[in-house]
Amino acid sequence: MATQTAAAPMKNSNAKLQEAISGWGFILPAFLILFVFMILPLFVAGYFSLTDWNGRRPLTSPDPFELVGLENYQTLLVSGRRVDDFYNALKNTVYYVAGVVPTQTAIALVLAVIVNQRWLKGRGFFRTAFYFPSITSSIVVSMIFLFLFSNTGPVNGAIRALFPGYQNVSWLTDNNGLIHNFFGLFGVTSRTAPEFLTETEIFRISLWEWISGPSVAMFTIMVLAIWTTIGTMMVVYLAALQNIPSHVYEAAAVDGATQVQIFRKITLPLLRPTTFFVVTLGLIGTFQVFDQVYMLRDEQTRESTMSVAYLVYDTAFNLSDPRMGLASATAVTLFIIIFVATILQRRLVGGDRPVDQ
Amino acid sequence: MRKVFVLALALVMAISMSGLVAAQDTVTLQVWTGSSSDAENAAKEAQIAAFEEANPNIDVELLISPDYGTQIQASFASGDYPDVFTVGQFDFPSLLDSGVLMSGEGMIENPEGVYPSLLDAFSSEGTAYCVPKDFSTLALFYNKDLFDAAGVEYPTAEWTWDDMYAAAETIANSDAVADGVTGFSAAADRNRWLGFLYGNGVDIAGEDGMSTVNSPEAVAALEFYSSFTTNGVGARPSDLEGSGWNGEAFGRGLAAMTIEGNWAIGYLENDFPELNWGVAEVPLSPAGERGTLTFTECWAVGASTEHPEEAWALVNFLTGEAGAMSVATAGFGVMPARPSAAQAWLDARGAEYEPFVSGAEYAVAPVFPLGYGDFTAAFDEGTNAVIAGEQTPQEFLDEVAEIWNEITEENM
Amino acid sequence: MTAVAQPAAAAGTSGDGRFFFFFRRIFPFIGYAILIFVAFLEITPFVLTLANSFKCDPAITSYPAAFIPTFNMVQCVTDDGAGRLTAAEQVNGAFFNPTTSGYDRILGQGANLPRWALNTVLYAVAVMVLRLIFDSLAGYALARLRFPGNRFLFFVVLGVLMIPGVVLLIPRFLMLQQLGLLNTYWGYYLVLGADAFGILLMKQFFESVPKEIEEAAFVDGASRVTTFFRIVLPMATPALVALAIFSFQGQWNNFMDALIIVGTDQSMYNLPLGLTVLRGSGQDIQYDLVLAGSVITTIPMAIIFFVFQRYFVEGVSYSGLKG
Repeated sequence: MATQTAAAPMKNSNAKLQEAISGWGFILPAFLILFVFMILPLFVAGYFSLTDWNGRRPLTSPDPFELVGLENYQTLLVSGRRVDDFYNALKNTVYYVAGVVPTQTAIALVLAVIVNQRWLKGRGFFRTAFYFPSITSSIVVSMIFLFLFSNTGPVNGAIRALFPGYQNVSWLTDNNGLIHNFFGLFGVTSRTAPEFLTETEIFRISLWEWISGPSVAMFTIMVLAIWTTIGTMMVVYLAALQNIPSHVYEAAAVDGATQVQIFRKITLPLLRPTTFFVVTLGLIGTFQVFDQVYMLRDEQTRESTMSVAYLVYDTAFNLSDPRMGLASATAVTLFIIIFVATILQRRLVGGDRPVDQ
Repeated sequence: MRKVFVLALALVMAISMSGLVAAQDTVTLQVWTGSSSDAENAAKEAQIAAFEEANPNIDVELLISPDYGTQIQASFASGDYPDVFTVGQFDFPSLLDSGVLMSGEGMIENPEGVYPSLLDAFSSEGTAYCVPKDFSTLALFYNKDLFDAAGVEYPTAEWTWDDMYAAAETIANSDAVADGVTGFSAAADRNRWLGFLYGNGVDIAGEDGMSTVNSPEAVAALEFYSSFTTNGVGARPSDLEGSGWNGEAFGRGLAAMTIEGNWAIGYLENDFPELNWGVAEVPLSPAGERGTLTFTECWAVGASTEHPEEAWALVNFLTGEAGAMSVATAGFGVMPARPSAAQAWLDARGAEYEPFVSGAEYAVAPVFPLGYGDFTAAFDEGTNAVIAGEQTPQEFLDEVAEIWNEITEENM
Repeated sequence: MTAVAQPAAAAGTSGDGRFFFFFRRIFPFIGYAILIFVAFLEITPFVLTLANSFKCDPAITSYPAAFIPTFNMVQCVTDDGAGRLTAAEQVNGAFFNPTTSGYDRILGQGANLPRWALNTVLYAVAVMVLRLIFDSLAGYALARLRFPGNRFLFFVVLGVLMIPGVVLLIPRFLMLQQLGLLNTYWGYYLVLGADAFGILLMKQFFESVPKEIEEAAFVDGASRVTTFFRIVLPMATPALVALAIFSFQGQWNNFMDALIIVGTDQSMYNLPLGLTVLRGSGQDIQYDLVLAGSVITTIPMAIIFFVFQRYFVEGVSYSGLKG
């Protein structure tokens, strides 16, 4: 920044100090809030993860818990009876992230660009319509989804109208993986799959199970997630689209560029930082998927729709056997996984480092 | 490090609470419970108001929580939990272990008047810690119109498992019954099929603490319960047009029978007023016995309360003869925990619901001991797989029996 | 400098004619088709919610898809409480005879409703104002100001987003209790007065705004604070609008944070907590109450969004700068 701007000559050590003071001053109020109410509690949770606390024994009582070191992590990740629970939840979560993030980003982008066109009539209506799922209460959304996707519901009805030979799919309770179903089309099932797939086990889950894809029930939850979040993502894009100076478009139009060319050559590159932002946040948010699972899950799909964040909740607030220590360990592990995934994503796609550029 | 942490926490709490203690003539009790139906919430408020009326020196602050499990757990953790609160049977073992429940020894009025099976669910080594306020049992719901259409006799007191299966089979295959309507709605839920296990004369574990869950009787119970879905004469509720639970599938006329609790009565009357249905006791097992499950909730006094006398007075008011009578006459789905009020409940709700009351005699609270969480998790998973026909009952029960025995040995 | 904000509309309209020369005939059709299809998908659930909130429970359970009300108002339960309207009596094909039973019941028993509504507005407005200030200050610092720890703090803020919320419930409750902030308005405002998402949103936005304007102002001798409030913030209207919407809507529907912060004092409840208590829980869900409650909370939010979204007009407020 200092080297490329008109203000550069003004910079001396005094100005730098002033800038540093302003920087800290500007960020302090927000940072304090985040520190006290987010970061400190995280450290407390981190401490709990080293204990066998059940989350119920009062911390004011003489011996609320024992320090057990890394035992919870061992139970979770290496050798516990529930080790396959964690890896199963992780598998489900990864499929969920991989399915939801690109889809919601792409749809939100297309919607924002169209809804931002000047020729469009009723822009207010469309924008509000797209944002509606974000403001409708989640219990109602789940009720409506249960109805829409029930065996005899409108979704199956619509598909049957288009394809008369269609067999109703139990969208909400089908535990079969999508990739498994795809293999099934070629006659490859768990019985006919190559032995190295079904016999090799990693963390007590066979390779064949690892490559299942999201279950049909999880797929329905993914649809719900995309449906509810594209409104939010669209609003972020709308705010960003206004940053594109209209003279850029005008110049392109003068050059005779088509609408598609303008979109690909101008809009998309200029929205790149925003896309990066939306993808990063989408990644972080979807890795923590909880609400959508909570809304649509059914006891029958317990395994195939279990996400890591839901596992945290299920462990911490279990009625008969709450285990806050183990739940905290699960949460800390998830935190680390998200952190690594985000760093990787920034490295792979290329960071946004405008401050230093 | 832990000591320092706990000490610091205690110190901060002591400081923050010291300002609040003031000389008072009236005693204030914090009372927490979860939100149930709007009518039941109103009835709870009325009961509390009546107590305050009768005890002018006690002021009750009632909290009807929108998310009770989370809130009460947070308050336990903080050590600043209410004086009086409700406890569900599944929570009881871990709460007792956590030391937040005050012993009811010598404090509970007329404990003999409570159904013994219910008081047992909240007792440890002969001492009750919590007084049951109401309960539910499971019984057999049947759709009279579907039975009539298929020409099947209604369930009787002599019905056996075989009779029930035969009825489901006849109805499911009857031409007079619409396609997509099945004989029996079978939720993939341990809290439904375990009734058949107890009814067949076995328990989850024997006297020696070793599992009996894979005994021939237990396997037969699950084989019976899962045979409906695996043979296609029954279905899980979600396979019946995506119903959310047994009650919905039954209410929509998609299943001729189901096993549900008395909470379904209000739902069926409210949402399906035109449905023509009846209730019978669960059928007799090959062992010639019946088995059903009970679900109950109780009022407890917090171990940290500063006003134990007043707190127990409130609990006794809510759960004593008078309290039981007010539960009974309000006519909710739940039944009063004292047999003396059973008739009043039947009068308010309808004599045809007698099977739920009779069930109290042989019902079991299906609560596993503390520390068997891994077993429970595996048990639920396997139940799903068996009802879906992906695993045989024998395989599944052998597996979980092994887990149970491992845990038992670890704890010995 | 104030003139900078003006030429947007003029610059936009002048190029309009040629801009869509070829595609203004074909492209709109495709565009409209996509929009209408998606709008249909997004809004159908709400239309169903609205329609069903005027039905009795039997009809909601059995015929959720009937969505056209008639003028024939009905009662769900007869006055003596004995007779109940069946689903078939209320619904005929796509038509149904409406009732206000759900609304009557929820408004009738909710003596606290006005208080809860007021609380919700207070929480939402206060948090929105605090976030608009704190998030944009922090976002600006991260995006523009060079100070030791900038990069580190950015990762801290990003890291905060990655914390699984469920695990924070109990630690946060303990923290609030020790600070004496449970069941207080200030507790609510403070805990939620800044959020990582908002900070990153603002940072993201400031990074895409040309630096020249503020630097020019800074050269003119204005202080950082003055520059920020006089020059930078007004340019950030679109992002601020987005932040305001997200923040307001988030608090309007906030259940979990409210449960932890103000959940043990019913006079401090917001609408999501209050309505959850009113409609009860368990398997015997009273759908008419749920749906009526949902409509009551959704409609004001939809109006607020509709009003706010007008600020998303195409055209760039500082386009005059380079043009």
